[in-house]
Amino acid sequence: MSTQTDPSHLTDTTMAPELSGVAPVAPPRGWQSRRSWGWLRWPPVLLLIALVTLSLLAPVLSPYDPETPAPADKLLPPSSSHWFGTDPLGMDVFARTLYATRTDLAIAVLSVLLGIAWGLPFGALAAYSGRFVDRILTRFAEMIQSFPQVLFAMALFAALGSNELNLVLIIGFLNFPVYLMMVRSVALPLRESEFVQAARCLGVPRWRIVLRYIVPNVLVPVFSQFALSCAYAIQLIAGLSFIGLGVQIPTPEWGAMINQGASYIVFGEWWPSIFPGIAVVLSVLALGGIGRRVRRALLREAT
Amino acid sequence: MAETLLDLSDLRVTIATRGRSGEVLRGVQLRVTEGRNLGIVGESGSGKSMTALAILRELPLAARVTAGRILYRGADLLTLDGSRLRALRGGEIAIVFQNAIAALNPLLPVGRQIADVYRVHEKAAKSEAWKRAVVLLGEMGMPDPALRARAYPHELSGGMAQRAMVAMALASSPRVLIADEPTTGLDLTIEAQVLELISREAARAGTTLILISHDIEVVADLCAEIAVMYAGEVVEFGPLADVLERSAHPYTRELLACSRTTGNGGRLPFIPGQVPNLREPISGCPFAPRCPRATDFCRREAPPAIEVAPGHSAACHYADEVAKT
Repeated sequence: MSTQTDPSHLTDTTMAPELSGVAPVAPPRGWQSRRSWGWLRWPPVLLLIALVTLSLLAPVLSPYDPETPAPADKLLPPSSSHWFGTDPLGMDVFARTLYATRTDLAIAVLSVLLGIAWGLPFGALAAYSGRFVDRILTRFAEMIQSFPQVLFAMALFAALGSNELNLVLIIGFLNFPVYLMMVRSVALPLRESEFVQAARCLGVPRWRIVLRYIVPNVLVPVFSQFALSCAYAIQLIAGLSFIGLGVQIPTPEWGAMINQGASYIVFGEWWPSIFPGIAVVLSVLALGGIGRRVRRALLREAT
Repeated sequence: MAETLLDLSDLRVTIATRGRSGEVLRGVQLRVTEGRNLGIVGESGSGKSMTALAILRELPLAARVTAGRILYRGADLLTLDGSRLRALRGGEIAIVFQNAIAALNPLLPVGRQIADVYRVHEKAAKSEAWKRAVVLLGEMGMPDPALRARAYPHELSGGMAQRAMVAMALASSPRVLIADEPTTGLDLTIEAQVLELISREAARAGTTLILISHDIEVVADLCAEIAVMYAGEVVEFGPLADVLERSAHPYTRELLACSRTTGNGGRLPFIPGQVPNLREPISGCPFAPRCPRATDFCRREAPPAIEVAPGHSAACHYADEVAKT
């Protein structure tokens, strides 16, 4: 025990209410110390930053245009001029792999945000309204989730047509029930919490309670799920593009690139498929790692 | 002639959980007159809070009103539609809960929460509502209210949070303020301050107070009328002086005896026996098993409310005799 005890306990809040109120309005203790930059050193974060930086620097790093075929240069092995070789259309695999990072991450983030944008208000509404509205919304979410994802996406593509916008919409739609159910589960106990009851008892209207009292209080768990959802979304984007749905050649996209090179692997021309494959693995590892770490950090805080 | 604000008659509420049901309010009779603060006292589980929640139509999901009426200035609260109910809550009848820190939204500055209530009921502009919130906080004895208004609930002490909660409840000058054990969890010095604040500000706003407490002394200081609840009923109701000096129900006598002997040192006084289990049907007077005067008749027949003096009634077969002793 230190002999230099903090004298602040002498002016304890309980004894002098008027004084205790004058304590400066500052974030609570512990918050400041937790807002450190240590998380930047997590390997998955470093990996993600590296991927994003590379994709942004793509025009500087590679002289080749990712979408211009050069039939004369097709299927060249990796060399000093084409670091990752060229694909069956003669496009540079290095440039395409980097540019594809933009495509895949953008579609993943947009579609997950779309899922959140719909899942959050409807989940809060389901939880807060209860009874009939809740039952309809949760049954609907369960219905979507009961279809195998890829099969369901294929059916939607068949109905809507295959392009990038539809890919965003469809993956967003597949994320919608995930977030709806998650927000609902967090918001249900909130509905009976004292501060929501107090607001209700003082006449605050329902929509304002949902928007100002329920939604902000479910944002933390929602965004802890964000990175994990993006990881799943990238797998799904690549998987769907691999079977020819969603992004089409010549737009750079990992799944489509893997598919394009797949039939050449048996002839020893492995490079058009392997490099985008590695990119998929790295990006999923990075996002999945971040997601798991965030979740663990939140669990630690909760206990 | 002061107006009758609230009139509860034969209010019965049943809570059903997993097929078992219990009647938590067993015919509550209460009247709140304008300008006369009402204190509701009773042990835990006597139905004090349940009565408050029933008035605000904010009963737990498992609870159901099975009989009775709650009239607010002549209008039945139990049949109000959604928009009228919202206007009533906070606008006409407001409530202050036990634990103020838990009763404030952790992610919204307290000033915003006060302004929200004001805006809803007074249809005021955002900036005007904010100014009003700051003024209210100042009236509640909050030092530096303009700064405090921007504070989040966790940045306030328990007493400060309770002040903010009172400001929120009084934001649109309701006619009735229900304070449900507003000082549990606060220490004694602050308890006195907060109670003084509630009664002073309520009086200033022209608001009639319903103070729920297990402490008969607290109620005696602030209220003009008193209702003693036991096992989901009001067993005695009347003007403060009458109830304290000429108690007509043995339960009230026991409660008073307990609170008067505290502070004398020695053992804490208590009423022998237990509050009845409301899941089982009660025959006769619910207090009979603990009552020193109980007779076989008490155990058989439930006593009706007997008026022992104008405005003073007690649910005891021997109310007249008890009042005279």
